[in-house]
Amino acid sequence: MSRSVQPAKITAHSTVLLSQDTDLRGHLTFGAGCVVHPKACILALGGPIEFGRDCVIEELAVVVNRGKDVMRIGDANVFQVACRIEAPSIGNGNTFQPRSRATSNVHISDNCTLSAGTVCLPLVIDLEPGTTETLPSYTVIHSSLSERRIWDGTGQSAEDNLKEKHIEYLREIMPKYNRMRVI
Amino acid sequence: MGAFDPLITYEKGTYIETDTGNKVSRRAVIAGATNIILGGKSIIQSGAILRGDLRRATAGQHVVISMGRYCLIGENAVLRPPGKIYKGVFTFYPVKIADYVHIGPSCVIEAAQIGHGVEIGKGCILGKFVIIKDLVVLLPDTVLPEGTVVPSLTVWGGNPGRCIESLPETYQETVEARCKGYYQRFRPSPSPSSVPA
Repeated sequence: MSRSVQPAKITAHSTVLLSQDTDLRGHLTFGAGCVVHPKACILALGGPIEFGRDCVIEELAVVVNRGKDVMRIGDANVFQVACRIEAPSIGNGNTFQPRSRATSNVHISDNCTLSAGTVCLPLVIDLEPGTTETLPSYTVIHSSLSERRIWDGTGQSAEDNLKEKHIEYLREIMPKYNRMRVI
Repeated sequence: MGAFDPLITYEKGTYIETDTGNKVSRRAVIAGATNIILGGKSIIQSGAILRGDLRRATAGQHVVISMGRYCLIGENAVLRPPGKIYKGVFTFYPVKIADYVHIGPSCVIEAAQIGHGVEIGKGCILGKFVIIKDLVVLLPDTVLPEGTVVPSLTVWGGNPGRCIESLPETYQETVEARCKGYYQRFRPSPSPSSVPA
Protein backbone atom coordinates (compact mmCIF):
# COMPACT_ATOMS: atom_id res chain seq x y z
CA MET A 1 0.00 0.00 0.00
CA SER A 2 1.50 3.28 -0.96
CA ARG A 3 0.36 6.57 0.42
CA SER A 4 0.21 9.31 -2.15
CA VAL A 5 2.79 11.95 -1.28
CA GLN A 6 1.29 15.40 -1.32
CA PRO A 7 3.41 18.51 -1.11
CA ALA A 8 3.71 19.75 2.46
CA LYS A 9 1.72 22.81 3.43
CA ILE A 10 4.13 24.75 5.58
CA THR A 11 3.31 27.87 7.53
CA ALA A 12 6.42 29.32 9.09
CA HIS A 13 7.48 32.51 10.79
CA SER A 14 10.06 34.52 8.86
CA THR A 15 12.87 33.63 11.29
CA VAL A 16 12.46 29.85 10.85
CA LEU A 17 15.39 27.95 9.33
CA LEU A 18 14.39 24.85 7.36
CA SER A 19 17.11 22.81 5.69
CA GLN A 20 16.58 21.75 2.12
CA ASP A 21 17.38 18.08 2.71
CA THR A 22 14.45 17.25 5.01
CA ASP A 23 11.34 15.13 4.75
CA LEU A 24 8.35 17.31 5.57
CA ARG A 25 4.80 16.10 4.91
CA GLY A 26 1.33 17.37 5.64
CA HIS A 27 0.18 20.52 7.40
CA LEU A 28 3.05 21.99 9.41
CA THR A 29 3.25 25.23 11.38
CA PHE A 30 6.52 26.55 12.80
CA GLY A 31 6.74 29.30 15.41
CA ALA A 32 9.41 31.99 15.41
CA GLY A 33 13.02 30.85 15.43
CA CYS A 34 12.66 27.09 14.88
CA VAL A 35 15.66 25.31 13.34
CA VAL A 36 15.31 22.11 11.32
CA HIS A 37 18.59 20.32 10.56
CA PRO A 38 19.19 18.36 7.34
CA LYS A 39 17.77 14.79 7.21
CA ALA A 40 15.13 15.56 9.83
CA CYS A 41 11.71 14.07 9.24
CA ILE A 42 8.42 15.72 10.26
CA LEU A 43 5.35 13.81 9.12
CA ALA A 44 1.84 15.11 9.65
CA LEU A 45 0.20 11.97 8.25
CA GLY A 46 -3.13 12.56 10.02
CA GLY A 47 -3.80 15.93 11.60
CA PRO A 48 -1.44 18.91 11.45
CA ILE A 49 1.65 19.52 13.60
CA GLU A 50 2.19 22.93 15.22
CA PHE A 51 5.58 23.87 16.66
CA GLY A 52 5.98 26.72 19.14
CA ARG A 53 8.94 29.08 19.28
CA ASP A 54 12.62 28.09 19.25
CA CYS A 55 12.34 24.35 18.66
CA VAL A 56 15.34 22.47 17.29
CA ILE A 57 14.87 19.31 15.21
CA GLU A 58 18.18 17.57 14.58
CA GLU A 59 19.21 15.05 11.94
CA LEU A 60 17.33 11.75 11.63
CA ALA A 61 14.79 12.89 14.23
CA VAL A 62 11.28 11.76 13.36
CA VAL A 63 8.21 13.65 14.58
CA VAL A 64 4.99 11.93 13.50
CA ASN A 65 1.33 12.72 13.96
CA ARG A 66 -0.86 9.79 12.88
CA GLY A 67 -3.95 10.91 14.83
CA LYS A 68 -6.70 13.14 13.51
CA ASP A 69 -6.20 15.93 16.05
CA VAL A 70 -3.64 18.71 16.01
CA MET A 71 -0.28 17.77 17.54
CA ARG A 72 0.70 20.86 19.55
CA ILE A 73 4.35 21.23 20.44
CA GLY A 74 5.27 24.07 22.80
CA ASP A 75 8.29 26.37 22.91
CA ALA A 76 12.01 25.60 23.22
CA ASN A 77 11.85 21.83 22.69
CA VAL A 78 14.95 20.04 21.46
CA PHE A 79 14.55 16.92 19.35
CA GLN A 80 18.03 15.42 19.20
CA VAL A 81 19.55 13.01 16.70
CA ALA A 82 17.42 10.01 15.69
CA CYS A 83 14.66 10.45 18.27
CA ARG A 84 11.20 9.26 17.30
CA ILE A 85 8.33 11.22 18.79
CA GLU A 86 4.65 10.43 18.32
CA ALA A 87 3.26 12.05 21.51
CA PRO A 88 -0.15 13.69 20.96
CA SER A 89 0.98 16.92 22.66
CA ILE A 90 4.22 18.31 24.00
CA GLY A 91 4.69 21.20 26.45
CA ASN A 92 7.61 23.60 26.70
CA GLY A 93 11.33 23.12 27.26
CA ASN A 94 11.54 19.36 26.76
CA THR A 95 14.66 17.55 25.60
CA PHE A 96 14.49 14.35 23.60
CA GLN A 97 17.99 12.93 23.59
CA PRO A 98 19.46 10.74 20.83
CA ARG A 99 17.37 7.71 19.95
CA SER A 100 14.66 8.31 22.55
CA ARG A 101 11.12 7.32 21.67
CA ALA A 102 7.73 8.61 22.80
CA THR A 103 4.54 6.70 22.02
CA SER A 104 1.29 8.15 20.82
CA ASN A 105 -0.61 7.53 24.09
CA VAL A 106 1.45 9.70 26.45
CA HIS A 107 1.08 13.49 26.57
CA ILE A 108 4.32 15.21 27.53
CA SER A 109 4.19 18.22 29.90
CA ASP A 110 6.95 20.78 30.49
CA ASN A 111 10.71 20.49 31.09
CA CYS A 112 10.88 16.71 30.71
CA THR A 113 13.98 14.86 29.53
CA LEU A 114 14.00 11.57 27.67
CA SER A 115 17.58 10.35 27.98
CA ALA A 116 19.47 8.62 25.21
CA GLY A 117 18.00 5.32 24.08
CA THR A 118 14.97 5.39 26.42
CA VAL A 119 11.34 4.92 25.59
CA CYS A 120 8.38 6.81 27.08
CA LEU A 121 5.52 4.36 27.63
CA PRO A 122 2.36 4.71 29.76
CA LEU A 123 2.72 3.38 33.33
CA VAL A 124 -0.54 1.43 33.03
CA ILE A 125 0.39 -1.63 31.02
CA ASP A 126 -3.07 -2.45 29.70
CA LEU A 127 -4.06 1.09 28.81
CA GLU A 128 -7.30 0.99 26.84
CA PRO A 129 -6.86 1.96 23.23
CA GLY A 130 -7.91 5.51 22.62
CA THR A 131 -7.10 6.73 26.16
CA THR A 132 -3.95 8.62 27.03
CA GLU A 133 -1.69 9.34 29.98
CA THR A 134 0.24 12.47 30.89
CA LEU A 135 3.93 12.51 31.76
CA PRO A 136 4.27 14.98 34.67
CA SER A 137 6.44 18.08 34.34
CA TYR A 138 10.15 17.79 35.21
CA THR A 139 10.18 14.02 34.65
CA VAL A 140 13.48 12.49 33.60
CA ILE A 141 13.37 9.10 31.90
CA HIS A 142 16.75 7.42 32.17
CA SER A 143 18.85 4.25 31.87
CA SER A 144 18.24 0.95 30.11
CA LEU A 145 14.90 0.19 31.83
CA SER A 146 13.52 3.69 31.07
CA GLU A 147 12.97 4.45 34.76
CA ARG A 148 11.36 7.73 35.78
CA ARG A 149 12.36 10.30 38.34
CA ILE A 150 11.52 13.93 38.98
CA TRP A 151 14.09 16.65 38.43
CA ASP A 152 14.11 19.18 41.28
CA GLY A 153 14.91 21.97 38.84
CA THR A 154 18.45 22.79 39.99
CA GLY A 155 20.46 24.40 37.26
CA GLN A 156 17.39 25.06 35.16
CA SER A 157 18.34 28.63 34.33
CA ALA A 158 21.75 27.42 33.12
CA GLU A 159 20.04 24.78 30.95
CA ASP A 160 17.61 27.31 29.50
CA ASN A 161 20.48 29.69 28.83
CA LEU A 162 22.40 26.93 27.03
CA LYS A 163 19.41 26.11 24.83
CA GLU A 164 18.88 29.75 23.97
CA LYS A 165 22.53 30.38 23.08
CA HIS A 166 22.68 27.11 21.14
CA ILE A 167 19.75 28.00 18.89
CA GLU A 168 21.03 31.54 18.48
CA TYR A 169 24.36 30.18 17.27
CA LEU A 170 22.71 27.65 14.97
CA ARG A 171 20.74 30.43 13.33
CA GLU A 172 24.00 32.20 12.58
CA ILE A 173 26.01 29.19 11.36
CA MET A 174 23.49 26.97 9.57
CA PRO A 175 22.80 29.11 6.48
CA LYS A 176 26.54 29.43 5.79
CA TYR A 177 27.04 25.76 4.98
CA ASN A 178 23.61 24.28 4.31
CA ARG A 179 21.07 24.93 1.66
CA MET A 180 17.96 26.31 3.20
CA ARG A 181 14.40 25.91 2.04
CA VAL A 182 12.95 29.16 0.82
CA ILE A 183 9.64 29.74 2.54
CA MET B 1 40.97 -11.70 10.70
CA GLY B 2 42.86 -14.32 8.75
CA ALA B 3 44.01 -14.18 5.17
CA PHE B 4 40.93 -16.01 3.92
CA ASP B 5 38.23 -13.67 5.23
CA PRO B 6 35.62 -12.86 2.61
CA LEU B 7 35.80 -9.58 0.72
CA ILE B 8 33.42 -6.78 1.59
CA THR B 9 32.33 -5.50 -1.77
CA TYR B 10 30.51 -2.41 -2.95
CA GLU B 11 29.33 -1.33 -6.37
CA LYS B 12 31.98 0.58 -8.17
CA GLY B 13 30.33 3.94 -8.72
CA THR B 14 28.87 4.21 -5.24
CA TYR B 15 32.10 5.19 -3.47
CA ILE B 16 34.53 7.99 -4.22
CA GLU B 17 38.18 7.14 -3.65
CA THR B 18 40.59 9.98 -2.88
CA ASP B 19 44.33 10.12 -3.61
CA THR B 20 45.13 9.16 -0.02
CA GLY B 21 42.92 6.09 -0.22
CA ASN B 22 39.84 7.36 1.61
CA LYS B 23 36.63 5.74 0.41
CA VAL B 24 33.59 7.93 0.87
CA SER B 25 30.12 6.78 -0.08
CA ARG B 26 28.17 9.05 -2.39
CA ARG B 27 25.16 8.45 -0.20
CA ALA B 28 26.87 9.83 2.92
CA VAL B 29 25.75 13.31 3.98
CA ILE B 30 28.75 15.52 4.54
CA ALA B 31 27.99 19.08 5.56
CA GLY B 32 30.83 21.58 5.63
CA ALA B 33 33.35 19.29 3.90
CA THR B 34 36.03 21.98 4.09
CA ASN B 35 36.16 21.55 7.87
CA ILE B 36 36.70 17.78 7.83
CA ILE B 37 40.12 16.10 7.63
CA LEU B 38 40.47 12.43 6.79
CA GLY B 39 43.91 10.92 7.42
CA GLY B 40 43.82 8.46 4.54
CA LYS B 41 42.64 4.87 4.04
CA SER B 42 39.45 5.65 5.93
CA ILE B 43 36.00 4.47 4.89
CA ILE B 44 32.78 6.41 5.24
CA GLN B 45 29.84 4.17 4.44
CA SER B 46 26.48 5.07 2.97
CA GLY B 47 23.96 7.02 5.01
CA ALA B 48 26.57 8.34 7.44
CA ILE B 49 26.14 11.99 8.45
CA LEU B 50 29.19 14.15 9.21
CA ARG B 51 28.44 17.64 10.49
CA GLY B 52 31.48 19.68 9.57
CA ASP B 53 29.33 22.79 9.36
CA LEU B 54 28.96 23.11 13.13
CA ARG B 55 32.21 24.98 13.67
CA ARG B 56 33.69 27.30 16.26
CA ALA B 57 32.33 30.78 16.70
CA THR B 58 35.57 32.66 16.14
CA ALA B 59 36.64 33.70 12.65
CA GLY B 60 39.22 31.83 10.57
CA GLN B 61 39.81 28.25 9.50
CA HIS B 62 38.72 25.57 11.93
CA VAL B 63 38.94 21.83 11.73
CA VAL B 64 35.68 20.41 13.02
CA ILE B 65 36.20 16.68 12.49
CA SER B 66 39.69 15.24 12.18
CA MET B 67 40.17 11.57 11.62
CA GLY B 68 43.31 9.43 11.44
CA ARG B 69 44.11 6.48 9.19
CA TYR B 70 42.26 3.17 8.81
CA CYS B 71 39.06 4.54 10.33
CA LEU B 72 35.57 3.35 9.51
CA ILE B 73 32.30 5.22 9.87
CA GLY B 74 29.47 2.69 9.58
CA GLU B 75 26.16 3.02 7.80
CA ASN B 76 23.77 5.67 9.12
CA ALA B 77 26.18 6.75 11.85
CA VAL B 78 26.00 10.41 12.87
CA LEU B 79 29.14 12.30 13.81
CA ARG B 80 28.64 15.84 15.13
CA PRO B 81 30.79 18.10 17.26
CA PRO B 82 29.80 18.83 20.88
CA GLY B 83 28.86 22.37 21.88
CA LYS B 84 28.75 24.31 25.15
CA ILE B 85 28.86 27.80 26.54
CA TYR B 86 32.36 29.07 27.21
CA LYS B 87 32.82 32.57 28.65
CA GLY B 88 29.21 33.39 27.86
CA VAL B 89 29.40 32.45 24.18
CA PHE B 90 28.11 29.22 22.69
CA THR B 91 30.69 27.37 20.59
CA PHE B 92 31.14 23.96 19.09
CA TYR B 93 34.36 22.09 19.85
CA PRO B 94 36.29 19.89 17.39
CA VAL B 95 36.03 16.09 17.34
CA LYS B 96 39.41 14.38 17.26
CA ILE B 97 39.52 10.79 16.12
CA ALA B 98 42.87 8.95 16.12
CA ASP B 99 43.94 6.00 13.92
CA TYR B 100 42.34 2.54 13.68
CA VAL B 101 38.92 3.63 14.94
CA HIS B 102 35.90 1.61 13.85
CA ILE B 103 32.52 3.23 14.43
CA GLY B 104 29.68 0.77 13.90
CA PRO B 105 26.45 1.37 12.01
CA SER B 106 23.73 3.66 13.45
CA CYS B 107 25.96 5.21 16.12
CA VAL B 108 25.41 8.75 17.35
CA ILE B 109 28.75 10.33 18.26
CA GLU B 110 29.09 13.71 19.98
CA ALA B 111 32.42 12.87 21.61
CA ALA B 112 35.33 15.31 21.95
CA GLN B 113 38.09 12.75 21.55
CA ILE B 114 38.36 9.13 20.45
CA GLY B 115 41.74 7.46 20.90
CA HIS B 116 43.79 5.00 18.90
CA GLY B 117 42.35 1.56 18.12
CA VAL B 118 38.85 2.09 19.49
CA GLU B 119 36.05 -0.19 18.37
CA ILE B 120 32.54 1.17 18.78
CA GLY B 121 29.79 -1.40 18.28
CA LYS B 122 26.60 -0.79 16.38
CA GLY B 123 23.98 1.58 17.75
CA CYS B 124 26.15 3.18 20.43
CA ILE B 125 25.32 6.68 21.64
CA LEU B 126 28.19 8.86 22.86
CA GLY B 127 27.08 12.02 24.63
CA LYS B 128 28.65 15.45 24.41
CA PHE B 129 32.33 15.80 25.38
CA VAL B 130 32.93 12.09 25.92
CA ILE B 131 36.64 11.25 25.93
CA ILE B 132 37.70 7.76 24.92
CA LYS B 133 41.34 6.87 25.46
CA ASP B 134 43.29 4.34 23.37
CA LEU B 135 42.32 0.70 22.75
CA VAL B 136 38.77 0.60 24.02
CA VAL B 137 35.90 -1.65 22.98
CA LEU B 138 32.32 -0.38 23.30
CA LEU B 139 29.79 -3.21 23.06
CA PRO B 140 26.78 -2.71 20.79
CA ASP B 141 24.08 -0.30 22.07
CA THR B 142 26.25 1.23 24.78
CA VAL B 143 25.11 4.67 25.94
CA LEU B 144 27.77 6.96 27.40
CA PRO B 145 26.34 10.07 29.08
CA GLU B 146 27.81 13.54 28.66
CA GLY B 147 31.41 13.96 29.75
CA THR B 148 32.24 10.27 30.35
CA VAL B 149 35.96 9.47 30.27
CA VAL B 150 36.78 5.93 29.21
CA PRO B 151 40.28 4.70 30.22
CA SER B 152 42.46 2.65 27.89
CA LEU B 153 42.33 -1.12 27.46
CA THR B 154 38.79 -1.53 28.78
CA VAL B 155 35.50 -2.94 27.51
CA TRP B 156 32.34 -0.92 28.18
CA GLY B 157 28.69 -1.74 27.73
CA GLY B 158 25.12 -1.00 28.88
CA ASN B 159 22.95 2.07 29.40
CA PRO B 160 24.44 4.02 31.17
CA GLY B 161 27.78 2.55 30.05
CA ARG B 162 29.89 0.74 32.64
CA CYS B 163 33.32 -0.86 32.55
CA ILE B 164 32.86 -4.59 32.08
CA GLU B 165 36.36 -5.98 31.71
CA SER B 166 39.88 -5.11 30.69
CA LEU B 167 41.86 -6.07 27.61
CA PRO B 168 45.31 -7.69 27.34
CA GLU B 169 48.31 -5.54 26.48
CA THR B 170 48.72 -7.36 23.16
CA TYR B 171 45.40 -5.95 21.99
CA GLN B 172 47.02 -3.14 20.01
CA GLU B 173 48.49 -5.46 17.36
CA THR B 174 45.21 -7.33 17.05
CA VAL B 175 43.14 -4.23 16.45
CA GLU B 176 45.60 -2.68 14.00
CA ALA B 177 45.74 -5.87 11.96
CA ARG B 178 41.96 -6.08 11.97
CA CYS B 179 41.50 -2.48 10.79
CA LYS B 180 44.09 -2.83 8.05
CA GLY B 181 42.52 -6.10 6.99
CA TYR B 182 39.08 -4.51 6.83
CA TYR B 183 40.34 -1.73 4.60
CA GLN B 184 42.09 -4.16 2.28
CA ARG B 185 39.01 -6.35 2.01
CA PHE B 186 36.72 -3.39 1.31
CA ARG B 187 36.80 -3.31 -2.50
CA PRO B 188 34.59 -2.67 -5.49
CA SER B 189 32.78 -5.77 -6.63
CA PRO B 190 34.47 -7.28 -9.68
CA SER B 191 32.76 -6.24 -12.89
CA PRO B 192 30.96 -9.11 -14.64
CA SER B 193 33.39 -9.09 -17.59
CA SER B 194 36.46 -9.71 -15.43
CA VAL B 195 35.01 -12.72 -13.61
CA PRO B 196 36.57 -15.86 -15.05
CA ALA B 197 34.03 -18.21 -16.55
